[in-house]
Amino acid sequence: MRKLLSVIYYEYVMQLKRIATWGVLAASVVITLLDGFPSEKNLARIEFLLQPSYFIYRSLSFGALIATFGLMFLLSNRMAIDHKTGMKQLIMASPITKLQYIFGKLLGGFIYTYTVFSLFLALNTLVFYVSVPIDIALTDCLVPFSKALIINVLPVSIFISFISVALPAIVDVRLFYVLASVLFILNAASPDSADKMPFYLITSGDLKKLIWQHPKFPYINTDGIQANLLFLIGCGLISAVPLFLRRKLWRND
Amino acid sequence: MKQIKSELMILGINPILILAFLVVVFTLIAIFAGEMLNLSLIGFEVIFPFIAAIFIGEWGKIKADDNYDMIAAQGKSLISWVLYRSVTVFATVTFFVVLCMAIVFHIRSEIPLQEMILIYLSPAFMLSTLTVLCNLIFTHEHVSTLVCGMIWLLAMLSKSMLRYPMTEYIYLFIRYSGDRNGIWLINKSVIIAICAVIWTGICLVYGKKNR
Repeated sequence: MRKLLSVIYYEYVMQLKRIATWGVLAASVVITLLDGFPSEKNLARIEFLLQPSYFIYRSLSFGALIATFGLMFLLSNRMAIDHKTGMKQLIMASPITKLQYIFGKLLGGFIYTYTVFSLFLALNTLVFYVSVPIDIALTDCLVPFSKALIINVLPVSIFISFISVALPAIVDVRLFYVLASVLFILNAASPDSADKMPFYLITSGDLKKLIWQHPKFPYINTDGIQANLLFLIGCGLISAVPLFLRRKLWRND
Repeated sequence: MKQIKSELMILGINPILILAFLVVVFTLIAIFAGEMLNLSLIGFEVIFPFIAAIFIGEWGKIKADDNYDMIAAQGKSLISWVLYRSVTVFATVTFFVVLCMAIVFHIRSEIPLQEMILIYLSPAFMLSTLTVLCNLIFTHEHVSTLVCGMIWLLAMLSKSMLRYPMTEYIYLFIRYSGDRNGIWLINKSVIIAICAVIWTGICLVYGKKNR
C-alpha cells in the first residue's frame, strides 16, 4: 500500500509542478470569464447570468471543455515518458508490482485531473461571487459548486485521466490525439438543448442539467443522465483494462 | 528532392497508416451518417485542418527533435530544414485529405471538390503555420499540438464572437459557422495573407541563424 501511495504521490506532484498545467488552467479560466464574466454587457446578453448555478452550468459547457482538452494532452505521455527517460527500468528494478505501477499512474492522474478541474471551477465561481453586481449569499454559490464537484467533475476526471494515461500506452499517441480530436470536435459542435443530449458529451452532457435547468423545461431526462454517466465512467474504466492485460508493459515476475 | 526523400523516410509508415485509417473512417461516416450532417464542411474545414496541425506538431518536430542539436550545428540556417520537414508532412496529409474529399464527394456530393479544397486549405495552412511556430519555440514534445489544439477548440467554441464587426474576416471556420454575409472567399484570402506574414517573419528570423 505504501508503495502504491508513493507512486500516486510522485505522479501527482510531478504533474502539478509542470508549468503547462498552470498554463492550461489559466487559459481556460480566462476564456471562461471572457464568455461569462458578469459584466454589464454580458448580463444584458446572457439571460440567466445572475444565477450562480447557471454560471457554473455555462462554465461546464465552455471553458471546461478546453481545460479537459489541455489536461488530456498533459496526461497522455505519463507512461511513455518513463520509458523514454529510462525511469521505467529503474522502477522495474525496484520491488514495485505491475498492479501498483498501473494503479499509481491511473490514480495519480485521476487525483491530478480532479484537483485542476476543481480549481478551474473554484476560481471561476470565486471571481463570479466577487464581481456579480447583486448581493448573493455564499451558499448560493457553494451549493451548485459542490454539486458540480460530485456530479460532473468526478466522472469527467475518471474519463479524462484513465483514457489519457491508459490508451497512449497501448496505441500510438498520435493516433490517440487524432481520435480524441474527433471526439472533442463533436463535443464542441453539439448545440446546447433542453432535449436529450448525445451520450458522448464530456463536460456538456445531460449530467450538467442536474446543476441548472431552464425554467421553461423543468424536467430531468433520466435516460440521458444515465447514458452520459455510463459513457464517462465506463469508457474510463474499460480503457484501463488493456494496460493490465498487456504483458510487454512489465517484467516477467 | 533528396531531402524530401529523407524526410519521407524519417516520417515512416505510422502516419500513413493513421491517415489511411482516417480515410476509411470518413468513408464509413459518409455512407452511414445520414443527411442531417454536412460532412464536407465539418470534415474538411474543421477536423482535417487540425489533423494536419497534429501531424506537423508530432512528426514535424523541430526543437523537440532528439537530433536537433546535431542538425542545428551542421548548417548555417534552420529555415531549409524547417521548410522541407513541414512541407513534406503537410503535403502527405493533404494528399490523403484530397483522396478523402474525392470519396466524400462521390458518395454525398454536398459541395464541389474544388470548393472543398479551398475551404480546407486556409484553416489547415493557418493551424499548421502556428504549429510550426510552436515547434520552433518549444523544446518539449506535444506542446505545439496542445497549443494549436486549444486554439482550434476555442475557435470552434467561440462562434458567438462573430457578432463583433470584422471578426468574420479572420474566423477560421467561416463556412461551418454559416457565412451569413457571403464573404468566405475574402475570409480565406485574409487568413492565407496572415499565414504569409507569419512565414515571412519565420524566414527573416531563422534565415540567418541555426538556433
